[in-house]
Amino acid sequence: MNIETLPELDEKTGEKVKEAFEKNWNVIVLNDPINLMSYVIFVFMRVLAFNKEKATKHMLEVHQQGKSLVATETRERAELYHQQIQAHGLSVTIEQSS
Amino acid sequence: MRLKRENDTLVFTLSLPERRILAHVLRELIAKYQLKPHELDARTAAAWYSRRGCDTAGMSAEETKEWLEHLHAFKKGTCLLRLEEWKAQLDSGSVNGNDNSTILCPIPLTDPHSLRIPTDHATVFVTAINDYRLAAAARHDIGQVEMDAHSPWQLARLPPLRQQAVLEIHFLAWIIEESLRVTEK
Repeated sequence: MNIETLPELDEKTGEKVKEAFEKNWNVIVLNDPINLMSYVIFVFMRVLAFNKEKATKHMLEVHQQGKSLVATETRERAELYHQQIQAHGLSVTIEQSS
Repeated sequence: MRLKRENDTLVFTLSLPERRILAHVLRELIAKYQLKPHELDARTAAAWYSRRGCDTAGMSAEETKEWLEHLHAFKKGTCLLRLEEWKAQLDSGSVNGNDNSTILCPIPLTDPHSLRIPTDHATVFVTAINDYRLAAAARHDIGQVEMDAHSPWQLARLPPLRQQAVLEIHFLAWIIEESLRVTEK
């Protein structure tokens, strides 16, 4: 019986695939003087699917510490969160975690 | 302003000055959502289309431009139609289709006016009026100090346009908080 196997990926392609699936991108929400606490909680619940308790915890981190790490994801998902959170008016950045 | 929920509809009852402010807000949003990021004034663009996240993500100039265009398309596509519907509701209560009365007119020309928004659209509504708050704050340099000014004396120390911006920002905050409270029930 002849079993076909997939060709092995070359090293470079393999690295790229690994990078795409690696959850090493941080989504960080920053404080600002305008957005309401209740609104920030609402955005966290809506975009990140946090329950109210978790959303409030992260909102308080933003408010008291100036920022909060709200997610660590693949680059693609982090970019999606980035766009959705910014579309709701919150100040947000994404960066590769060290 | 009074807000109540009737089944799947938020019903805002607005006084004449409140209706005028909200109509102005919606008019401004309709105009500005149609503009691309590079067509906006720099401060509104910075408030709505900040590039900071794109920079920290290491995006190229081309990727950033594309990302911002997607964000603009999302805002415009999601909000514009609804904003026009709501503005039409506010305008429909005017005597002649657009309200030219002065805010301080002691005799209201119309009865308190209702704005009806389906709860399904509440998210679009609060996000849009929050966008106005952010843009107003950016254009008039409203920061923490100004936001913390609650007494008439503190407010009176600001120039008139900044006072107006602060009052609009707080009025819209009230609407957002009430909307979130009522839809959460």
